[in-house]
Amino acid sequence: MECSQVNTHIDELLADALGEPLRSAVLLHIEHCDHCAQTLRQDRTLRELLQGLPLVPPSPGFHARVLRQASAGQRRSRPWLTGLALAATLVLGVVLGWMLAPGGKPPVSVQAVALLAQQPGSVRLAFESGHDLRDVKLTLHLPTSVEVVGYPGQHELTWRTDLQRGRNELSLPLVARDGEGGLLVAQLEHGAQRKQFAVRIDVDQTGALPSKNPI
Amino acid sequence: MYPHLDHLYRFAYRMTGTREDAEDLVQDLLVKLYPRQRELEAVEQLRPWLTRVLYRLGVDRARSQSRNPLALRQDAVGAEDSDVDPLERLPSHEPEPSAALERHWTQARLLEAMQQLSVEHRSVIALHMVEGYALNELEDLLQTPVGTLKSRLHRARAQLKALLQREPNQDHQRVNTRGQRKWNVVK
Repeated sequence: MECSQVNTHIDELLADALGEPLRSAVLLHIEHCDHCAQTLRQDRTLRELLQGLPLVPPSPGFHARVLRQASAGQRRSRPWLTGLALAATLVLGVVLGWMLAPGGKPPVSVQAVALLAQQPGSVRLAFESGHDLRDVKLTLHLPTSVEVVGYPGQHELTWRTDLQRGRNELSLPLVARDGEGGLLVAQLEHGAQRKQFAVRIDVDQTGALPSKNPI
Repeated sequence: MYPHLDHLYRFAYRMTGTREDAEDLVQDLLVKLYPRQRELEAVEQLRPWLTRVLYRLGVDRARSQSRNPLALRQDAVGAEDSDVDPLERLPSHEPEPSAALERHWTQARLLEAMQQLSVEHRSVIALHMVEGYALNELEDLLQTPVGTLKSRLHRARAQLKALLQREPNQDHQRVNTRGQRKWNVVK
């Protein structure tokens, strides 16, 4: 049996769904093949890790609320966050027609959102534009303890995009490392105009996942 | 539908990765189905049917978000249409002691890695490897041929392993420009 064939059966082997005599043939190959033995070890570890992933329970009153809103035909409205609600959802309204001139003042009021430490959460930024805008530069400055998922260790991200008239939404997958959080600053630039918003990210360590998984 | 809410939330959470998005998705499903209660009464196996509708809703939502002008999406390492076998991207084929795996493969990192999968890949991982559905059950549940599911599973697993193999602060990011806005990362 070739490695490529064995590879297609490892999932069934781990799920105990491989019948004889195939199972014996696969095991015999693995016994003499370091590469396939390593693949088996990795896949087993991955499976165990996946099965041990925690499930964050729904928010209190979810069942009653969701049925009540369904009967009323209401979609859940994403709230503007106030205080330190644990919901890692935030909507920032930006009316681009009111952009600041260069050198404009920093934001006066700062909203807050909390993230559970070591656990990805989504923060949604919504930008409301009065008309189509091309080549808008959006820059995010992140606190040192917060990262965009997949961009480890990078605390400044910038990209150019076009905004459509109406609501433009950015769902930002964030993960908080150890630390206290800090300010996330979002800056939009279009031509000579600039608008800046800040959000305070608080890190909740109480529900933090262990940094090591017992395997 | 009340008896199925926990199951639906659980799958929605595995698909989306956050409580808020999972609650939103279940809410959307219920709002959509509430006026069709008479039809639901005629469905023999309600749970798999609901799961299927939820899955379609989750996929549609993910695609819709990816079309948004500001959408943020990671490069999918081992994307479905890639010609390169994702397994070949693993850093090493040398045997690795389990202690070394333990050092890098943690729940927190796996959660992050899951977030970087496409919704289709995340769903098959969640339903097959976490919830224990057999692939032939998923063929009916997700209305997707077993061959496609196997391919997704293979690629998703390889992608997860590749992401977990990276050093925690290793900068290996690439950007998916297929229909997405490009991140220009400032060094």
